Amino acid sequence: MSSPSCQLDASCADASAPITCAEIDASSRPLLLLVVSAALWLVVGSVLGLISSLTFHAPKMFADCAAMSFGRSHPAANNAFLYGFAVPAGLAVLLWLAGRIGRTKLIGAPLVVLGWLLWNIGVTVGVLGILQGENTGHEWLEFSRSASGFLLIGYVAVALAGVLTFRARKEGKLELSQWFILAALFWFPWIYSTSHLLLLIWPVRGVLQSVITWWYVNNLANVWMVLVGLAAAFYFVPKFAKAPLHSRPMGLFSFWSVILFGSWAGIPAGAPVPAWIPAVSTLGAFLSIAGILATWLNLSKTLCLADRHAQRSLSETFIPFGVKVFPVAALLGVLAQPAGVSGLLNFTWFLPAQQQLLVYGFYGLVLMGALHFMVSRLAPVADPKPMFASLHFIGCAGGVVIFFLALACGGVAQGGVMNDSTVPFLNVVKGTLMWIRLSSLGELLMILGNLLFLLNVVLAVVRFLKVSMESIMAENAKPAGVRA
Amino acid sequence: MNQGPLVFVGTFFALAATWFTFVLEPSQQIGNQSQFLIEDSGQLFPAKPAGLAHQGEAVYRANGCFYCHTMQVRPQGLGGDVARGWGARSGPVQSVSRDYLFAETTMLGSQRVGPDLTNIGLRQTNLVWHLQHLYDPSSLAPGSTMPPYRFLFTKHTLKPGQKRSPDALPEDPKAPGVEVLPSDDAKALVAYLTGLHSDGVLYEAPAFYVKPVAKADKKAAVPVTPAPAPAK
Repeated sequence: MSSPSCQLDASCADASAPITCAEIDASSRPLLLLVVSAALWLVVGSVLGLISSLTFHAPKMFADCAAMSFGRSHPAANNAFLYGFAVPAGLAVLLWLAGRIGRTKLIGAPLVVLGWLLWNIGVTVGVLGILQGENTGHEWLEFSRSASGFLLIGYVAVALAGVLTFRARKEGKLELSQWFILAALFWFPWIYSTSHLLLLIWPVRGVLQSVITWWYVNNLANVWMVLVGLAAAFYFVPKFAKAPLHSRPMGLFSFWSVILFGSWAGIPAGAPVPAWIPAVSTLGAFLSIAGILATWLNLSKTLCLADRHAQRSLSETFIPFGVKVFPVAALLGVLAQPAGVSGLLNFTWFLPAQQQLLVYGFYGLVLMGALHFMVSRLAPVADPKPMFASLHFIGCAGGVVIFFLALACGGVAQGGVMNDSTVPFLNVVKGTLMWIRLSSLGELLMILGNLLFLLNVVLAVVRFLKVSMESIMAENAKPAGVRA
Repeated sequence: MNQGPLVFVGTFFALAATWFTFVLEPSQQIGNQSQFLIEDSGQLFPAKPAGLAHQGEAVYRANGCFYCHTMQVRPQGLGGDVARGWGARSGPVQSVSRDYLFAETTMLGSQRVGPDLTNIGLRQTNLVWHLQHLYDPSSLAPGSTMPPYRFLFTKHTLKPGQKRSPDALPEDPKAPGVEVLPSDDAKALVAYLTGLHSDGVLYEAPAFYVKPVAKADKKAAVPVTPAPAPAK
């Protein structure tokens, strides 16, 4: 029987598999490149996001500065978050988990370095391009053709190392997290290349472009990010609880639900497309409810076994928070789909609020927790005390909660008056301003949290480099001293 | 048992299923739409945009107008789109897939920070209004939250005796002797906006078409018989 306890640190030193966790972690060090650049882009993205929301405080602020205007800084911020932080950070976690759970060293480190380089060239070209007005016009796929090409090749290089590492695993039977890892490694290049080809290389005509964009956005947020986030959650939660996962079959049910039904959601009712498309999409979203509830039950039943009074590391605060946010964010996404609710909420601030809760509140926080854990293992130092730990958590978690609550309430209110045609449209817009300005407070907190994330990651890596440089110097100095 | 292949095949199957449903099948159904002749008026629907309007679409895209403005009118009964007069069609009808046939990029938009712009060319035909509104939205819509797009204009002081350019925006009484000239991008953008005026008969949504009648005569309102199928 494969007990989840074999996922724990200590069990890596199994008699049949003499490789130790420390050896696996040492081989995974190139992944730190992905982690550091992701932390940097996270800060860049959130600062750009704040700049874009300044428009709602002072509309005339960037009237003479095209690059900082809302229509450019907003997509630049979103893409910096998605492709600067979310995807590479997810890849780093996937690759490290593939090695850790498979009890094998990272294979293909040069591929990781090459992929990291190409990927970051792509993101830089893409973000600067958007600020200069090179926008493809497809939401979440705004990067120019050349930038997207870099991204795709970069991803394939890193993911190839992931697949090689996955194949080198010691056991044929897969741990639950490994199901999610393998599916995630393949899911992204499939959806990204399909939408890239059909939107930018041989563009389809008319409203089909929108159908493909909706399909892509949903598959990135509700499938890929959920797969990666749950891969980490199903690995870390039993570890923190020091107990096996509540139910493996329930976890497998979550897996099939995400890829079979979650991948169908996302096309809004009333869109100018044949009516069956949003109808089928809504059906898919509703079928995924059972999977969301199973995930919630499974993880919370395991989490409640954790010792509440023990001192908790950063990962032990971030990951449980993200895990608790997941069912809320995912269920709100499903409930906003059917025509009745969509009539009220579509085009309002409710949808960006729900999206932020999913991609930052769930995915971002779970990932940050996993990355903190990874960094402390890949760059181990004697006294790894994170700086401003509680401020870091309050910034990220408090920020996203304020942001979500402000915009969700604002969105519901906005939907109500927008549908009342007797209210002049300008009044509808003015009614949302208070909520948007309140959400900026959440944004400020998230920037603070993101900055502290960057600070802690960089500090840990720098400290580690310093210590290892010193020990290398000491090693080299010894024989020289003898000779002298 | 090695479960790797099972997970791979399962993932592939799930992805293929969603791809067939949301990429392939919609392309089969609406990927080959084309213009058709409206027999009553002898016009082709939808009309192809003019060259300058086509350039304007690129300006609309580059400056991310679609992050705040949608371009889709939902069917009656779903939100207040039709009641607000968005779409401005001669009947309470929604946007349909064929409307976007000649958009190089379909930018339906996902948020209504500003009003919907479907057929804005039917609702506001005045080019100067559009230019002035881009330069300083709050001058025409007091309290507007739209940011000004001054970077699409150049501003300079007239020398004594110099004539105003015919392209210049109307003089601002607060700043006499200052001339504001729209750039080529601004002109193209306005050509694009005013070119959004498709008011064709919608074969896709004939059932909703009700002849507009005077209020007193409400009982006499009768649905018009569905329009004939488009000539192929």
